[in-house]
Amino acid sequence: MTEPRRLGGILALRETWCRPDEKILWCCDGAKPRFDVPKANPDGTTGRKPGSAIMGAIAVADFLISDDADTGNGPPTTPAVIASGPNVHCEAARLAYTAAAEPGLWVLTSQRFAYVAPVPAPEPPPLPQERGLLGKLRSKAESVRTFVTGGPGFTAGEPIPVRAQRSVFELHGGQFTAAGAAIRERPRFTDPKPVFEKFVFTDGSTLEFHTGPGGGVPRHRLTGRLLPLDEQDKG
Amino acid sequence: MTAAQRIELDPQLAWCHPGEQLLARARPAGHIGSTIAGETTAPHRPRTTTPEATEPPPPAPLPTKAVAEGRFHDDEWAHDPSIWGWAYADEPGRLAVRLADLLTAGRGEATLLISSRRLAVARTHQPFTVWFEADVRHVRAVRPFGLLTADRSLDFLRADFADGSALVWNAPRARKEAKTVRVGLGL
Repeated sequence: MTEPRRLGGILALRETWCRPDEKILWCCDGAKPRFDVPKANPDGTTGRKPGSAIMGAIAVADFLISDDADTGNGPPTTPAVIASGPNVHCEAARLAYTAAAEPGLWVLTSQRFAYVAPVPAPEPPPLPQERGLLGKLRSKAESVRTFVTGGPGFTAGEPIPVRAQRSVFELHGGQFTAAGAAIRERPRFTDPKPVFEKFVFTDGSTLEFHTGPGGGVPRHRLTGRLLPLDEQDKG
Repeated sequence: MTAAQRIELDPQLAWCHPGEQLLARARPAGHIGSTIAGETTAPHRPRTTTPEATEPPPPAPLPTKAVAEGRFHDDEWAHDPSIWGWAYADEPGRLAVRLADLLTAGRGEATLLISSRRLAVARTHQPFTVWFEADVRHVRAVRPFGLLTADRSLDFLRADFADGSALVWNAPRARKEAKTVRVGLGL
C-alpha cells in the first residue's frame, strides 16, 4: 500500500504554513548549498579530501585568470545557494548546514525568511511479508508500476491534498538584510555571469540565491506570479 | 460515442474560411478558475446559458483547498495541477467569462480556437459544432508566461481582450503560439 500523493511547493506552504496576509515572494530548492568558507570544502565537509591540493590549486587559478582562459577543467555547476563567511561557525554557514540536513525550501515572504520542510509522515505500518516467488514478483511489479507512473495520482472528485510544512528555522526583519541582486563573477560556474540575490546577516556572513541569468523561468526558484517569457527564448 | 471513438476534425479545414488561418487552439485539460468582480471561484461556475455537452467531463481531482476557497495571492492558482486556466474580469458580462463558461460546460469536448479572423469555442469532433464565435479584433494581446512548480516547469498563454477581461491557460508551446498569434493578428 503506497502513501497517497500529496502536493508540495507553494500551495502546500499557502495551506499549511503561511499566514493569510503573508505574501510568498519566492522559494528556492534547498538542495546542496555550496560553502564558500575557509577550512570547509564546497560541499560543507571539513578536512582534506584526496586530491584536494589539486582542486585547491585549480580554484586559486580560477580566481586569478581571466574568464577567457581555458583551464582544461570544466567550471563547477552553478549552485542554487552559496553560504559565505569567515568560518564554519558564522550565521550563513550554520543556516546552510541546518538546511542541508533535510530536503526543503528556502522561503522569502513579506514577513519572514525561513527554511521550510515537510512535516515527517507517520511511520507506515509494516507491510505483510510476501513469501515465495509469487510474492516477490508482485512486489517487483508494484515497484515498476510506481517508477513508470511516478507514483499514485490524485484522486478524481476529491481536493488535491497537500503535504503539511513546518519551519526548520525562520528569521525576521533585523536579523538579516536583503542586499539585492548582483552578478557573481568569481569563482566561475557553468553560467558565465550568474545573478545571485544576497542576504547579509548580522555577523557579515552571506547567503546568495541563484536567480538567473536570462529571461524565462529561473531555475531552482518557485514564485507566486507568472513570469513573462521571451518569445525568442527556447529555454 | 466514447472519447476514444470520436473522429476529430481539423479546424483549419472544418471551420476556417478560404484565406483564414488557424493561429491557436486549446482544449482544457483540467478545471478553469475565475476572479470576477473580485470574487474567486474554482472550479469556475458558468454565469451564462451554455450548450449541453454530449459526454460527462473526464474524471479529475478537485482544486486544492487554498485555491478552491480563494485563499491565495497573485497567480498561485497556477501551482494547482487540477487547474488548466483562469479568467479575470471586472463583471460577469465580459468576453473572458463567456469563454470560461463554455470551456467549463464543454470540458473534455470544447476547444478554444483563434484564427486570423475569429475567436471561437467549438466542439471539434464530428459533427463540428460552433458554440460561440466573435471577431478576433476583441483580442488585444497574447503573451507567453512561465512558472516553475514543485515538480515541473509550466508555460501559459494570456489573452487580453478589448473589454479589459483576460483568459490565461496552460499552453506547452506558449512561446511559439504567442508569436504565431501576435504575427497573425499584427499585434
